[in-house]
Amino acid sequence: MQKNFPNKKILLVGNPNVGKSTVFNVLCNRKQKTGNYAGVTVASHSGNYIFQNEEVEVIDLPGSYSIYPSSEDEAIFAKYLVEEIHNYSGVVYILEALSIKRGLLLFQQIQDLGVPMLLVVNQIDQAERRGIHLDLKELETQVGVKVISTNAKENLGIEELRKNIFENNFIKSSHPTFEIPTEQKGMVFKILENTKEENQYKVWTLLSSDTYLGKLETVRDQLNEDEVKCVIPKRLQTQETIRRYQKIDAVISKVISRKPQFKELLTEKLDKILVHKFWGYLIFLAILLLIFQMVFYLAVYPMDWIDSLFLNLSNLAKENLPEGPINSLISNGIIPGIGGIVIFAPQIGILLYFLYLLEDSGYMARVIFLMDRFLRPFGLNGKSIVPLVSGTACAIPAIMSTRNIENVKERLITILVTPFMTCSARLPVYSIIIGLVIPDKFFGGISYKALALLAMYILGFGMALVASLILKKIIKNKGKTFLVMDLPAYKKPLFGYDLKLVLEKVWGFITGAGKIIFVVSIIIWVLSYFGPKTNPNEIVATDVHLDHSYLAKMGKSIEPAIEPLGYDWKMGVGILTSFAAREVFVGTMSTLYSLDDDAPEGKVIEKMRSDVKPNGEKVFNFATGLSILVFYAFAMQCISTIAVVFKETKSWKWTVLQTIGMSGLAYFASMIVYQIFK
Amino acid sequence: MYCFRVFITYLTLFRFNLNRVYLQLNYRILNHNFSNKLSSFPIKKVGKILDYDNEHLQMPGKIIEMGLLPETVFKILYQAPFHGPLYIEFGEEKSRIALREEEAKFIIVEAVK
Repeated sequence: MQKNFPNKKILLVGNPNVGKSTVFNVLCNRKQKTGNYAGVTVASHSGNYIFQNEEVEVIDLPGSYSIYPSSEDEAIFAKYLVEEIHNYSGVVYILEALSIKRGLLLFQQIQDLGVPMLLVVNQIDQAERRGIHLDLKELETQVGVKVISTNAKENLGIEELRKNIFENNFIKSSHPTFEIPTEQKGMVFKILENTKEENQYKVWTLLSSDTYLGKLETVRDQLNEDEVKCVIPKRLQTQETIRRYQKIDAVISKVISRKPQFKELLTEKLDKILVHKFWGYLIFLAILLLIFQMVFYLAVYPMDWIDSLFLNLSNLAKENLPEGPINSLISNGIIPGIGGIVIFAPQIGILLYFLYLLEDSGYMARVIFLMDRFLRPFGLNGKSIVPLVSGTACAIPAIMSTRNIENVKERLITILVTPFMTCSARLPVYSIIIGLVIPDKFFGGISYKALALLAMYILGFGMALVASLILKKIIKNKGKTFLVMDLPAYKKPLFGYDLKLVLEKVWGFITGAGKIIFVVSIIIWVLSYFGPKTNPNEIVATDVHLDHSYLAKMGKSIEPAIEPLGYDWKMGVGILTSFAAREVFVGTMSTLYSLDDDAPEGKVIEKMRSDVKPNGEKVFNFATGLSILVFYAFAMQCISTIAVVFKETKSWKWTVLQTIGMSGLAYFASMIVYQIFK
Repeated sequence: MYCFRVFITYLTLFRFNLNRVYLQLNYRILNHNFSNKLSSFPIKKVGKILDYDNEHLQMPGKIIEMGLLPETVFKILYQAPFHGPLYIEFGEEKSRIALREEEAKFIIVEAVK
């Protein structure tokens, strides 16, 4: 067998919710790389497969309804399609049998751009159940490209699709389906002549797209003033869409035949309840509660296993490594530090898995429908609910999933407030602090600790809303806000595929956080092992008492700043290192307390509990505990999130403002809390 | 008197759509020469799109792209509370779409008998 297969690159294109991910999933059986953080419809990812010794790379582009993008993810799609036209062999266009009319619009637009295409009609069985019969042979002659029928869920037609891709059955249309209107014809031909461009429709799209597609300025250079005045992109787009739909109607009338019978589908039945004015909200609330219940109760078992695994690892290291500081670093610092993160992987995984399933099933669109009215007063869009809810798992994929919010202002506000949501990285910190300072009492059968954790979630969500209100006043509105959203038919989620995505994410979380904790642990250990020299013969003093180390010196130098918040220098170090990532706090604390010679032997948490300030006051008392909780609820302590905010907003201003604003708020809020409860 | 004032405040607070209620009640009377905007069209009645009210080009292009075209037959199935989005079923394929009232104002419709 050859080692290097001939390589071919194809694009998977279609409307959102037509089963594109299903086709992608069954088509690419080899390795898949999610080029980005997954979010089913958000990021483009690629995968590949081998068919008859040919390696084919499949790029799954975000779904779109038209070549003219109205949101960021659609812009990604349009940009890729137009700019990379020479780098792929063709487009596999997925059409859902039930919404064939809407699908043909984008299909014809791409066809007119001169892109070689192959048409896949998916889920014909759904249409048949509706009494709609599709004549695929007729469709083939009407649209002028090869048509393949698949049922991706049952793995039907996929081999044929692969065969057609192998045989390069991509067809470039010979004549345009859209005729340039007479009024613009002169202009288009003039530009064609001047720029040596051959495709009429391409010039037309440049004229009729206002921002994303191309640079109107360069096209405008070709025109005189009067002509420029006539070009109103929006009007041209509308004109084009209506004309296209007229032609598509003619095609459809030839392709589709209807039987009179009509069966109510599952979606209609479900929506009677799921979008109900009262039951709809109750069910949404119940689903959220159920998910969180699962996160905390289902995750207990794997968390116990992980806990004992790392405890054993730590003991193993302690017994087998030579006695000394390195031993203590590894067995008390690094291993418990990493264990402190891995232990939260089950919770993150379960949360993410449920969120993926909800999105995959089509339910999230209903949640957007239900929540839109309640989020609008805060300057948010109904679509903001998805980032806000997934922000409880991790802010990074949540912020990336804002790309389908069309309005720039609403999207920006959503990005800026999502980090307030209680993400899973805060859980380790909350668990430890709540365990330390909240009394072990019960209130009506519910433990104070559980209530405290619930309060932290509510605090985060509340602050997100308050911040949105403030931002709504500050940010100037660009563009009109709107909600025009397809409500897809419910479908059975891809349990296996989603699980794969979740495992990938969780592994990414562990390795990412693990690396940081490893490095931070070592730095802290080094800084605390060495101290300023005590006699002139040394360069530095080694194996010093923790209180005389460089770390203590640095920590104590920031003490004046953190004293009003009620923290001692160790917590100060913990908070500073947490700016890399929140969960690092746990690792830092483990390292610091295991290095403290004065502290009694035992678990780190016991050492923390019994630690006292010089004045005899407990370090982790009720007031400092609350102060830390509030600090972690508000502060922007996550480098990866900052990076993603910058990537998504493309603005230093907002990234810096968000980081400073959130951290400043954290500082003052926790100061107030400490001063009140002191 | 107090109760009444509270009731009125409640209505204005949530911009209760009295127009919608009126039309819902008088659907039969209006049935024949009904011509109005989608935003005030009664729920669960069949209507047809006639045209757009898009003088200032404020209408999102997505409305047309999604297939809400003139001559399309539709039915508003649900509306989220407090003037939330409309849940519309339309076309022969029975596509479903969510629209806010603000967007629905761009669409001129008539009732279908």
